[in-house]
Amino acid sequence: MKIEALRAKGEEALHDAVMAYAYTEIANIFSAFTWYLRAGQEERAFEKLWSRKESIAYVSCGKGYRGQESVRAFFVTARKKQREEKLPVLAELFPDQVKNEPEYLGAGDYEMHWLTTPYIRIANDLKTAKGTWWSPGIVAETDTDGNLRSYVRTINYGCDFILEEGAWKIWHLREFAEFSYPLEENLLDMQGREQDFGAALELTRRMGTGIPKPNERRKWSGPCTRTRIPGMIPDIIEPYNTWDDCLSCIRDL
Amino acid sequence: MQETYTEQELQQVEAIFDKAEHQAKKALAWQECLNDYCAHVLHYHGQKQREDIETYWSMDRYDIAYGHGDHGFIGKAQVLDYFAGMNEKMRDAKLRYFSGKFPDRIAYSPEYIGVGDYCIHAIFTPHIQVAEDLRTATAFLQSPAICSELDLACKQAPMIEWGGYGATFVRDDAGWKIWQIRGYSDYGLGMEGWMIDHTDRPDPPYPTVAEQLRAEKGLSSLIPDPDFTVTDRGPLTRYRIAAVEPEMQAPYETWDDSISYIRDYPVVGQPEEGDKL
Repeated sequence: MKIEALRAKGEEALHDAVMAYAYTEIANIFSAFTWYLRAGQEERAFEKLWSRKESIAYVSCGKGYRGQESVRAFFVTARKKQREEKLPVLAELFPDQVKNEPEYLGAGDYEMHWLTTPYIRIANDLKTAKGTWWSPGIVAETDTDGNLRSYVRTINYGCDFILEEGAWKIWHLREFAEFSYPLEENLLDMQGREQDFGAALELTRRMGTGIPKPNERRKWSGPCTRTRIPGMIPDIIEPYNTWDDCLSCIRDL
Repeated sequence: MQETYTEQELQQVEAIFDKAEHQAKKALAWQECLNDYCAHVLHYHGQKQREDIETYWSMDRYDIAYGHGDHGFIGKAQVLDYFAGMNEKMRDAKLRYFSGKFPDRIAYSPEYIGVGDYCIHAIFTPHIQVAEDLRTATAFLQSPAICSELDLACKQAPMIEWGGYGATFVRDDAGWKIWQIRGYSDYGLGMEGWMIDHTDRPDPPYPTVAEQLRAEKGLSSLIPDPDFTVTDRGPLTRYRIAAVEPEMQAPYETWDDSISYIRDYPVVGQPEEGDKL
């Protein structure tokens, strides 16, 4: 076989492999985006996931923000200020659980946007990509009466991505509203109550076939409550070369 | 560095490339099959069943199939008649009814086709197995669905339906395409119409707590004014027309602003250094 034909074969294999890999990176980035939202870490999301181009844009249900300053003001700063202004109210409502100090910002906040039905298309030149997802979500926060109010919020996402210095970034993000409705007040608040798995678990307990005792127990932030501080649990793992036990999701057990 | 290679050495390198190429093509096939299935679901959401079948299903195979549990439709004509034709006839019948009953809101006119329709069979937990010969693939996908249409009183009548799908895919001359689908329903139950109907209520339904606090004090919103606004369809109402939104991007070679998800926005400024793609 001539060397030129071999080189062409190698380049084709490389192109296909890079394209396949790009799909997984795009999927990872958008999953990370929703994971940061869940943790109330918009600043980290903006720094890590968004392009540095001035042509970035974020459009939420018809209202558009363009450019680094504008998108940051909408996505990061406004949310941060809202938490800062709400914190003294929560500290007064729940003085034993919430202090008017920075580490309590976001107490009671919950925002989860699951990603379903992914359609991801990478350009053949491997420089840009586009993706859509249908997203059922739940958004909750503690109100001035101390109740955890929540609602279902479903949206469609359309997102343009760009390859920047070897890493894929969010370039233009657009949200299309589907529908929202409120949930029963305090439905998500697990304060003072066990998670209720209903009749099924009770039946297995009576039959003596209940869940075996675990080997270890460790403290964790716990389920959603009116005062829980959202956190990155588990945290997003950066690219790594080889296994180390400190990467494990059970490293504290 | 070695400057000449034996035929055997070249063959060894070729074998490595072949293996890499095969693995890459399997990964790409997995992605294309998932893309196809999600495109099918999103076209159903947009009430574009015929376009879905003609774009994402195999038009080469004589035995494409659409099944539900214990019954199904096999063959191109049968699948088109069932999935596309049946839905088209239903939409026409509904449009005649609603335009007659509510002429001030709905006209018997093409732009109103799909009025009030809502159907999303969201795809979760995909498991896709691509054959080693890269000619076929099989999958199962789980799907909680919400579907709704207008009832005779022109109100949304949604239901949820949870279940899953088995699907097979084939690689024909046009690429990876859907070959057969079989749906399995676990349960379905009605929802209250108001939950998804925004005809008389805004979206999002509530301002945030911080915004309420500021409004009570007569302070301005913390949310900055947008740089621009565009007219989106908006959330689901009794009168929203089903559409594939955002649209599916066909395979493309290189970037053009005309394919951007923000192409309908006003152009601002000039391209930056290094912006050309």
